[in-house]
Amino acid sequence: MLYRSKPSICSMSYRSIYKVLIRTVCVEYYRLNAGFFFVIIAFAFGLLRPIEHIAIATYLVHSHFLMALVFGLWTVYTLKTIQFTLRTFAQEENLFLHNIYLLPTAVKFSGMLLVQFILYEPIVLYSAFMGYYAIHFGQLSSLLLLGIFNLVTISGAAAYYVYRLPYMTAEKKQNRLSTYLDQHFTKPYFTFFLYQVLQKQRSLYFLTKLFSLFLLTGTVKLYTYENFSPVLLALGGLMAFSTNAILCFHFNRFEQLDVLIFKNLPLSLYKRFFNNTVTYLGLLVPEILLLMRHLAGDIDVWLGLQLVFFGLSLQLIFHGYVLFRQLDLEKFIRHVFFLVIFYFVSLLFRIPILLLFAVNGVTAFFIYQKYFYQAEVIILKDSPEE
Amino acid sequence: MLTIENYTKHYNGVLALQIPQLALPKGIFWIKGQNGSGKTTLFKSIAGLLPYEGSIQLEQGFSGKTQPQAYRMLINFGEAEPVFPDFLTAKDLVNFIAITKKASPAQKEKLINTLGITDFYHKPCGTYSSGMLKKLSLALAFLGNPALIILDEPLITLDDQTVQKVYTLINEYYASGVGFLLSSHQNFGFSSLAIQATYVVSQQTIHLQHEL
Repeated sequence: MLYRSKPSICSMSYRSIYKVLIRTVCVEYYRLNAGFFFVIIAFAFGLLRPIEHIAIATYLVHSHFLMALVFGLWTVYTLKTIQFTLRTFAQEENLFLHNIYLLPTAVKFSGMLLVQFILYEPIVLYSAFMGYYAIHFGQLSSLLLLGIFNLVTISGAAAYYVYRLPYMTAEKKQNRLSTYLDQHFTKPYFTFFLYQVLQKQRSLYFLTKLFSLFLLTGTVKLYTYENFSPVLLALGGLMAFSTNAILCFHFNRFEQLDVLIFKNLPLSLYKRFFNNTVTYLGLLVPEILLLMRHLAGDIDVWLGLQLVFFGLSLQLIFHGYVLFRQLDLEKFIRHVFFLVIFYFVSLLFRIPILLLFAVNGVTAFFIYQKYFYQAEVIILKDSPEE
Repeated sequence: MLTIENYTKHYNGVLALQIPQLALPKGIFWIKGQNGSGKTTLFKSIAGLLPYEGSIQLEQGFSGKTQPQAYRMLINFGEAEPVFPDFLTAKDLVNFIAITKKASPAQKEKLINTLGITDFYHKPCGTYSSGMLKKLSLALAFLGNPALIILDEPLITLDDQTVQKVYTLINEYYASGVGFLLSSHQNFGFSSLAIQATYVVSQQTIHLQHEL
């Protein structure tokens, strides 16, 4: 007769399962997003003083409307974490994780709850900060809302993972539109990375654009408010376009890893550089559309065009910089921070935007033609970004 | 066909491969070596995918460093374990590479039919099995008018029928003046291919093992 002990949720055997989940999903998440969190921290603690943080938290807990906006932002973040977890489970090397499906539902749920809680921790911390001020000002309804929102979000995501577990495979399904397009059209070269971003790095793309458009909208509003100062517009544009640096990094990696075989093709460097420029134009479409909306109205057409050219040249410089230095994502984002400071100071000294565009363009091409064939991405086992 | 001089390749400061001098006349060459010996590094360097020190030159006089475009027009490469972006279809890749390598529509058509790509031609690579990816990679390696085709492990994951078709293609191209560098852990049927010499990559260099 076989006796099987029934382990509790916290027993040793389940703890080892939780440990594997944390290592494969949570640790990887923070390693891959170190640059993203660095930018958020640099932005939050670099631009705002503690007193301003407290003021913001105070405003938020006093207005349910503002809290709803914050909840919207947190939902976007939650979607990013969910997408990451689903993608991690779908990767070939993580197929062993699917054995979790064989465990009792309570264990599956608690494991995924733990995973989601760790991924969601930055928001939990900020919620605690807001909760403190909600108690301080006696805003108990806000405190209750905070608690309910976080509880529902974390447990909802965990329940969704448990529901999706049997289907989280690497199997690819194609929708009818994609099938039709694939049968009738051939994708041009310059669209390859656009497809890559929109299909495999969707959340990264949308979060980047959200942040960039948020900065650009604020800049345009300030521009009209502050007597139409071109320097202010250029500075805001610089910040907005620089948030796309993360896409430049991934474009470079795409060129060096995913389509490395294309290096074998007899394409001239001019043509490759031109294709990259067109790809970047495609990536900047949301920013261009936003500026176009304000062109001839709030912004001078010529100034708007200069800003677009400058933004495009920044992408090419960032692309060249990755090619030249071959940094990992975390280091690259730090370097971008200093590059942005350089451009910030240059603009403060009223160096013409067109001159910066021209210098950037020439430098970017010089770097590209010098380092394109020289560049080599060596992925070490412990490399954080891939 | 190919001359290599003072070639060295380092990874993070560690010597991976060193070839002081190697001249290969036109022919089919079998490059052997254990896993991690440096075969793929050598192939990728010749194909222009990896930077290296030294010089690699084709008999037509083109060097990978000084005439990168003309050089790449004459060298095709088929990877051992090909990977392509999930969203691209075989059609996207075949058309793109056919344009850059100046392949004729007839050649494109012939390769698609010979290697049995027709069934999945319009489907994205993300839905392919390893055998399908291999067939696509081989088709791409035969496109254009190359002087040298490098095939890294061309037979793995292929069914017997396709293996025979690959032998036929190699022989046809060889007859029209194309040279080959092949690597394989399996034995090539010597009767099927006119292998001119076998080289072994070991101890960070390349040695002639057998000449026919």
